[in-house]
Amino acid sequence: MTTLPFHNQALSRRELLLLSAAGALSAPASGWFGQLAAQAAASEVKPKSCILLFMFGGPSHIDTFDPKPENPSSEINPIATSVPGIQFGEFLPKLAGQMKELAVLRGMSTSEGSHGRARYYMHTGYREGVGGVVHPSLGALASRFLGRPQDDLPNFFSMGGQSFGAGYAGPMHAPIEITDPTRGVENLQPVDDNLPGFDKRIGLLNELEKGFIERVRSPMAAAHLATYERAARLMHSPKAKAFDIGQEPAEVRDAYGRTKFGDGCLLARRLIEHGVSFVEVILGNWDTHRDNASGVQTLCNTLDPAMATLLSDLKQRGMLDTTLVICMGEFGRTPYVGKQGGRDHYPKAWTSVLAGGGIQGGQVVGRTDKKGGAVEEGRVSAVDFMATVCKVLEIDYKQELVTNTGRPIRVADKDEKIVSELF
Amino acid sequence: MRIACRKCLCIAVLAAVWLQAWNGSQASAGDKTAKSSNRNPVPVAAAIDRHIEARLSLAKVAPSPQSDDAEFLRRAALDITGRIPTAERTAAFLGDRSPERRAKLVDELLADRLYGEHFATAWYHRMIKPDNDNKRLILGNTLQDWLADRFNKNQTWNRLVTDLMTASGKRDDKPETTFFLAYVVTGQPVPSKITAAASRLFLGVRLECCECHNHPFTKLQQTEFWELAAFFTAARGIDRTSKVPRIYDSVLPNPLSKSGENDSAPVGSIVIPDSNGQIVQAKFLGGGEPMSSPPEQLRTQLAAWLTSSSNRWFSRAAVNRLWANFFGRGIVNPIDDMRPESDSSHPELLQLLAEEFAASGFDQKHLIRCICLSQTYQRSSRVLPENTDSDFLYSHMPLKMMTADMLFDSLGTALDHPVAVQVFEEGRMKARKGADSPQVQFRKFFRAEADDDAGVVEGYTHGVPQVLRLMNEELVNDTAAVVARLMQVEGSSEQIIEGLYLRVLSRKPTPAEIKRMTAYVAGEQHATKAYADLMWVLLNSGEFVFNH
Repeated sequence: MTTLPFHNQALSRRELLLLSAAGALSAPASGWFGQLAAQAAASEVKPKSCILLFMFGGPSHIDTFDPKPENPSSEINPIATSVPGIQFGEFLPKLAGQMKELAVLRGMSTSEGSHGRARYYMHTGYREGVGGVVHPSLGALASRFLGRPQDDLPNFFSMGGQSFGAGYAGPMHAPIEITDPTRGVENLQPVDDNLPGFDKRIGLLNELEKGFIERVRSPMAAAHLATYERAARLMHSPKAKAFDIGQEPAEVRDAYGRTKFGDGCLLARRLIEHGVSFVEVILGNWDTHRDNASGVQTLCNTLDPAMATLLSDLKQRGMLDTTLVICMGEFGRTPYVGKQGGRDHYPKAWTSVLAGGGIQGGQVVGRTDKKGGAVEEGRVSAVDFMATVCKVLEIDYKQELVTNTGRPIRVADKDEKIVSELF
Repeated sequence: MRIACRKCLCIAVLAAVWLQAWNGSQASAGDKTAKSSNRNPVPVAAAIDRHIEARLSLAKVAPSPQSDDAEFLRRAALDITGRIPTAERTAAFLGDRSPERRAKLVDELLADRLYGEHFATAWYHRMIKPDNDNKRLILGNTLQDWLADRFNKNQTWNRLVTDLMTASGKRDDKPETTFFLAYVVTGQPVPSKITAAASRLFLGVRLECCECHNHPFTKLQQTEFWELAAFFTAARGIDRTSKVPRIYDSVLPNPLSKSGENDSAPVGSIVIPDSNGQIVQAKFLGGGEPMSSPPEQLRTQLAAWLTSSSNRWFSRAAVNRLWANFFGRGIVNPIDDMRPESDSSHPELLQLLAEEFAASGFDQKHLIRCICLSQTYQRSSRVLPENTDSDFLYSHMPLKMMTADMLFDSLGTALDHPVAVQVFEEGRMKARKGADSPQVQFRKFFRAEADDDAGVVEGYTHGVPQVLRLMNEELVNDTAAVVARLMQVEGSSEQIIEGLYLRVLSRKPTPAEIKRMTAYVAGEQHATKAYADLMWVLLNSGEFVFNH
């Protein structure tokens, strides 16, 4: 079945945006917001959500989730997890305690070894530049297929860095980046703190935009207005309090670790709780070409409490079954020490971790050899991974999205192999 | 880990393109730098129009009418000086009834110091990508001021590129060395990185984008790339002892290089990675050898070949980028990847302009006059029902997104913001000293990747956070001073409204707009607040944010 994105239905994107703009414009400011409020009230059951913890730079799999005591280059000891027979690196004690929730995919084997291209590949399931199109990232797909039009909050947030955009899924599904999780989305209040005054001004702005859009008839001008609409809507939303992690008790803040990443995980939980479909939280500095062991230790000290608390927190609130948590980087790292004394990029064999979203936890899927350098069993490609994650989120990964030039492209590329152990 | 296959194939594609481009012609010893030309732009502008109109009539698409003066003024000011015109310039231009006023305006804008600043900003960010290897070496450099000065003196493009490619000396004496210092590993220039950057920037071909498995290329063509890279093997970076950033040439082996390139080969030759140690000598693409081979001359010889008027890729790349500055897209797209199979809308026009550019001695101001005097450039952005969907035929002026720098400077111009005034008076580099200057922060927040990369932004780039900042940040709401001044000088509400329109949108309001705005002001208790509201509305409007 072919699903058309909003801009490719019978009306062209341009016509549709013009229409939507005109609709917003025809109502006085108060009526405009009134309409939106009425739409928002008619809610339904929210589909699944997803939190992606992205380990930017590519973590060393053999020092984290796939320990290899027999590899002489390994400086990090294995520890037991709560599931007999499964071990983690020693700096992930809290996550080891949560093993019953986790599915550890040790057979990741992708083929992009440069950071930028590998990140693109793992975020979209497609190689960068193929076919001259920009593919939507997983977050944009979640926003597109799991978000509801009446949602107050946008459906795709990223924290701690830059995620990947919406590509041909359309600009409405582009990520909103939060630069500082303790400050949430900045500039949510008018400068004089006078919201009714703001409404008057923006009502006048809307009138002005109508003339300009008619004059130039450009999708860019329509997008300008649409973005102002979204921003104004967010300013009015009672859900904006979701951004305030200051409302959380001190013990909760402590448990997440009080790091930027930990705060990001806590904010992610609050956003999901308020109905957001996808949040990406990025933890950087995994590119340990030098000082691998100490780098891994420092980063694990940040990751471990944050992710473990996130999982227990979601579980306690009854949200874990509907929220898929993914922890992965763009690739793994060499099973040997490189020229600069650390580990270098290694897409051939590495590990990703899934939890929640209704998957079967407590298991390892796939196996690497003694040194962690080759996949022996349970190989998962970038395409397999994308399709599997979509299946967990109940997104039909075989359906096609139509690009701006009218080309149908599948959500996940063909020849996918689902990781069936998860279901 | 290096993915050797991808890298090699990419390089092979590049080499193939160059081979084709070079077409057997020989490298000359170096063109004499041409003086600024006195060529007449009018016939060239007419030729542009002929090419564009031929395609329009073939497609049976009607062009939009000519822009009015206000539309032309705002567009030309943004495209040439990187910001909206001041209220004073707008008033003066709209009062000028002479038939040559548009040509005169273009000359005025080109003579404005801000012209050089604008092009320097764009080129600086295209050339210098901060990374962990170059961070320390480029910190506090003054290349942007150097570029602005060269653009303002209208130094010819071939001379400017030659200066960058052959720069040597201490960075603080020779800002142009910053280009080489940006492509280093452990302080030493990396030949393949510089070859890739130079080809993207000055020849309009990109290495990274090729599709691996569709193009089976021969070993020979890979060799050619490395033969070119070998020209950079004498270039050296910082001294080991003094740590002063500098670029110089040396015949001694490169002691600090950990880049994996040229570890063992003598200067003027290079080891091809993943080739079992194959060594190649510096050679121009197409087979020409350097005239003589003292290693210190390698870069000079390469620059002469690169910027020669017989290297048509050099002029085509420059023309294509300049076209995109004015029309929001290149004649060939993507503009930094002009491969034979790239999408080219008007190939004959590109050829014509490239020849004109070379014949003018690479005179950029001349080329800008040619473009700006064309009817094509002067068309309105107002669409007709029958040409709505024909942007690429240039039936009307397409909307362009302002870059972060253009938006910052335009906001500053409209608001008389102290930061913008400071930039105006002291030059951008001084104003942005200190990593946290408002200018730097603004750029970081509003910058679109594509601005600094291809130089063309397609589609709207602001998201909700950017829009929230424009609506609710002090900078855009700091209208009090401007409003107070207008209220002091102008009399009636009509005049104040007109003053606001001229200042922000560079045009007079229509009678309907005056009526609507007057009604808004009448409905507010405090006139000052009402006018501040109006200015806020105008600053947040699409008509302000876009270059149209």
